[in-house]
Amino acid sequence: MTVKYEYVSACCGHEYVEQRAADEPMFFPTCNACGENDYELIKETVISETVERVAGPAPTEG
Amino acid sequence: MSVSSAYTAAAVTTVAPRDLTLKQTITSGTSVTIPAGINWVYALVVGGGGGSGTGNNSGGGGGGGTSSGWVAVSTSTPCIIGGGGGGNGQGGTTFFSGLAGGGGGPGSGGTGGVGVLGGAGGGGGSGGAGGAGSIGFFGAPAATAGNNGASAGGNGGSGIAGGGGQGTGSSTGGNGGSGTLTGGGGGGSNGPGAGGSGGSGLYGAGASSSSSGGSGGTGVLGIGSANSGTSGASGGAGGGGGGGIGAAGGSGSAGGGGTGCILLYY
Repeated sequence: MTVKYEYVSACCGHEYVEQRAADEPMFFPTCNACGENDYELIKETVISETVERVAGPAPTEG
Repeated sequence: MSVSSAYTAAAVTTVAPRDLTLKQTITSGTSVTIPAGINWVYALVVGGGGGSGTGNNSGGGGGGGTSSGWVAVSTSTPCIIGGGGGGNGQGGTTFFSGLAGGGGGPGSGGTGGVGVLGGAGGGGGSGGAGGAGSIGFFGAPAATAGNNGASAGGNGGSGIAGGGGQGTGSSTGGNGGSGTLTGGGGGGSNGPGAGGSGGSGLYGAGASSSSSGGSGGTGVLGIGSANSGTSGASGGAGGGGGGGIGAAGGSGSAGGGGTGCILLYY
């Protein structure tokens, strides 16, 4: 499941978005603008029921 | 064949281009929503890391390729996220508004695989050559190949993307190459020595290995997993290469490459 997570930091109000698989951890939890506090989740939206990523070429022997 | 895919998140904030902040991190989906009024963004595009080989004492996967620059965007801008390679698998290529970051090459029990569009080559197995690195999206310099060692496994080459370390049947596995942005996976060992350490990337050093399997390389979003068994460890999210398999017997599973990503600054 692909989810769009929208965050805002309490320290400086920096708005930040992560669009990732639902089972993945937050990649950058601390405010990317001032680094003082962690973000707070304000909204999450399910984008699709699948995780859309393309694979590379099919494996070869080795 | 199973492929480990657990990630360790980087416990730091991102380093942003001057006067910009990181506003969006994308690792899944087919489009990105941009606020109205934003017509240009600075994007860092990262391909998926290569997976390790599936054979005994296999090489680690190469780090994913990267490209970055200012791009025009609309309120709904299409994207393609490159997945991390599984066993013997090349990482997928990530695209966003005219930029592309290619996948890292797969490690192998024989000759390592090549990367594409800036992706580093995968490490070879014992006695096998590393895969060639590739020319990046904007041309030279090429990412480095996974190196070919002699007795101990050769270390992966360094560059923007680090090459995968070489696996070895008689000694210590080669370390993954350190990349400016993405690191290669360590090679596996079938001998008395430990598997290779993962290569470092943008957000820290690669993990060291305490067992025969190789550790995963660090990606743009996370540190590669540390190895503690015969299986190869996962590459860090954001293009880290997977670590190679260690001990004989085929009991270990391949280390998967880290998924690709898009970072948007505005």
